[in-house]
Amino acid sequence: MKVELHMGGWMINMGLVGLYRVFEYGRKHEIISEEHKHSVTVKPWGIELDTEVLPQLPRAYFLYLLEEYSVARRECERLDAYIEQVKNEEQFKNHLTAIKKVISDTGTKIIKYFTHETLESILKQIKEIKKYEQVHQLEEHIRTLKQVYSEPKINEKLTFNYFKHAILKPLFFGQVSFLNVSKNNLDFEGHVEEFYNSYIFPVVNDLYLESVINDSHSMEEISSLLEKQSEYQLFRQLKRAWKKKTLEEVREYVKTEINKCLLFNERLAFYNFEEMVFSPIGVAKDKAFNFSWYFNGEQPRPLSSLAKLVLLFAPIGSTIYYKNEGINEQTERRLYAGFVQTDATFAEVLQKNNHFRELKKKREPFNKIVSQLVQSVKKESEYTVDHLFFLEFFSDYDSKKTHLHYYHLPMYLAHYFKQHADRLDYIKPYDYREQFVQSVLRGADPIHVIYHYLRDCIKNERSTNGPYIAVRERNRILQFKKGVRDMATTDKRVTALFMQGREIRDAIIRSSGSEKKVTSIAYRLLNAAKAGNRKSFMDTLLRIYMSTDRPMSPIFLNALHERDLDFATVANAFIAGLLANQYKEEQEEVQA
Amino acid sequence: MKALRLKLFQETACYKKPFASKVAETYPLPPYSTVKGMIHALLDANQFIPMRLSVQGTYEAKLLDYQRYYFFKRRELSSFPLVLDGLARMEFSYDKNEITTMPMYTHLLHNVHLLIHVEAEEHILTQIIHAIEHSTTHYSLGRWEDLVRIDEYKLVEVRELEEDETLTLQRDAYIPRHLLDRETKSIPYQLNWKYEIVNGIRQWEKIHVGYVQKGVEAPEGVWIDEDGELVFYHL
Repeated sequence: MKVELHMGGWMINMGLVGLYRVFEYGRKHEIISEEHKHSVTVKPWGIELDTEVLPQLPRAYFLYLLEEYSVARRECERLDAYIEQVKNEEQFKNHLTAIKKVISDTGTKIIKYFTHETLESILKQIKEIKKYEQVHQLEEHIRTLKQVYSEPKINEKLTFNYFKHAILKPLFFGQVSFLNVSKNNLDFEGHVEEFYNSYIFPVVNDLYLESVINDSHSMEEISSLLEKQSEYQLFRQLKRAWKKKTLEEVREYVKTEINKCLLFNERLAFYNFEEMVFSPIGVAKDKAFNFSWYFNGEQPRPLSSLAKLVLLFAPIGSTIYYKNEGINEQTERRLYAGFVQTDATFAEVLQKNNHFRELKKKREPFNKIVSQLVQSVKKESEYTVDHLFFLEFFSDYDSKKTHLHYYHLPMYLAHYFKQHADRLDYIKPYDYREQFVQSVLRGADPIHVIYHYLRDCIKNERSTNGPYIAVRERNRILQFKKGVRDMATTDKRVTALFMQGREIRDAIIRSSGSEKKVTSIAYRLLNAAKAGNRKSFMDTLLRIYMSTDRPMSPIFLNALHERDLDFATVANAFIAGLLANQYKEEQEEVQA
Repeated sequence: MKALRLKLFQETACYKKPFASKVAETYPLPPYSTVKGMIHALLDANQFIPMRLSVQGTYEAKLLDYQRYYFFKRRELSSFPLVLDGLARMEFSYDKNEITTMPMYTHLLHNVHLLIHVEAEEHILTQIIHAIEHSTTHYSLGRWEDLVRIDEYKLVEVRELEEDETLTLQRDAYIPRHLLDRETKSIPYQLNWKYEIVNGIRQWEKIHVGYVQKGVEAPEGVWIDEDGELVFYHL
């Protein structure tokens, strides 16, 4: 039977992309049998699925995850990186401690499940390594360890543990079906069976029931189906309910008593959208009665088994990556799932998300990703840009916490990224750039990132062009928002302020002979700027100019009337100039 | 045909998406059901009044609010807090077996300017104007606390846009899918419109729309009012 799976909100699109990826993987690796190789076809509106292929999907699903998150591969790559570092004699001690920790952590995990004499003896011998002279021994042990990690049963167990407990459970589903702790001892086949029983079996039966109800001419066909599949609990209930009913009565019952699925509207809904179906946004129906109309605790958000199955593929449809949240000491590293949503055909949504995943795998920064995904299409000598939105979320099932971020890309930003995204590369370290880009994509002013960045530069005596670039790019974005496209004039103003800052820096250092005075002035100006205190800023500025005996440029008046530049840009460009003393070549390159 | 044009402003607003329980995601503009709800509330209506709507608007930025939510673990509760101005300043104790609380993130739109056209029978439009002028309570669109300032209400004449007229969108807008051509880039949404109660739950009639951003050329077959504002009726 063929069913149409239409695209919809981001969550269902994630599932469809995942379903297609798994199918493609299965087809390429011959997990999907020859006769079902065309069972999933891409249509402009989504996917057409031949349900005959469904029983083969669980195997492809797990094999896909095994390859994608292979712990053996990850650990071997890690060991390769470490061994290179250990070869450096000066750093030997530090790196040895790190490598020992990594090896012992993974080793303990393996020994928990398997008795492995070779591994145990290697772990013991590695403990004995203490001197640089033993580095060859270490290399030898690592070679053996890599073989141990790559043993299929070991890789399978560790990888299953990883994707189940680090990704599927906390981020997407909680403790449902094969993710329940009681199923931890299942082997590969056990997982496939559990997947089939909890997800595929209901879909096959529900769809069959629907077709029988629609097509049959007598009640007998329905009764015999219910009888045949009596191990399906739902059918037992229906059998009781329809015991003495005629075909017409059953059809009436289906119309009035069975709800329709909210995600695939034409399907019958025997399930409910709740936490265990998609935990990032769902809540448990019996723990939050006030979240549904009339305190409905039965089926407040009806869902079909088919939609439930599609959502199970969401982890594969999204891109999973680590992301640092917060700035400086408050940084927290979290695992995020991201997705690119657009109105295009399914093929294009798929292509955009494949591209997004590739870029993330290469650890490309966000500004690069955005500028690459905003593909330009030349149309009558004018550039138009795709309308995208990025979505990413972190979710923790246990603490019931979800962070969900939307990044809409308005037209002015799409144009900005098209033209100037490369400039943001000068904002280093990486974290500040990510924060900057993300603020901009949220429609927020990235000024708070610049304040943190400047403070960091003052505190750590970091003198680079980063803050200047950040100030200039923020100003460019503000101009783009206003509809200005030619940046020459406004850039000149920012550069002039920056140069003023540098001149004053030189003058202060010449007269006092130390950098300390510059630092203290920079702090004072930054505090004034951050507090929006124009008077205090101008007051400090006047004093500096008087003490260095220099004329003050009229461009600073913008701090008061904001005709050409806003106060924050004036203040920060000047402070950035005060902090810049090195990398002259780089400055020239940036200004070019 | 005549329509009532409303210019609205909201400092913050959350037009919550139906599935988003654990984190309140918001639509970028109020869906038709929300606008319909506001008008029906103004009219104190107890049944559906036929109307056509066009929703456009802009917002400045999106922000996150961290709010405490109450979860009812039982259908019957011994204490039920029903207050209009929040629980922050009142002593409220509850049985932990019945109610739990959890802070959750709510997405809020900031500085929302909306332009809404309502087409209905003329006496209904007159009633809406009367309700706006004589309301005894605050207006809200979205959640109860998403206050609305009505900057303008005006009866305007709406006509179809001529084929040779080309206009660009001055605001972001929901444009029904049947009006969108292939060239127009948008983000798809299925918006609720009106419901019937079937089997104890609301079954919604959905409208497929594209969220189109300002600056894009208006597709063919849309409408325009007497002051040159574009109109995109959903039906």
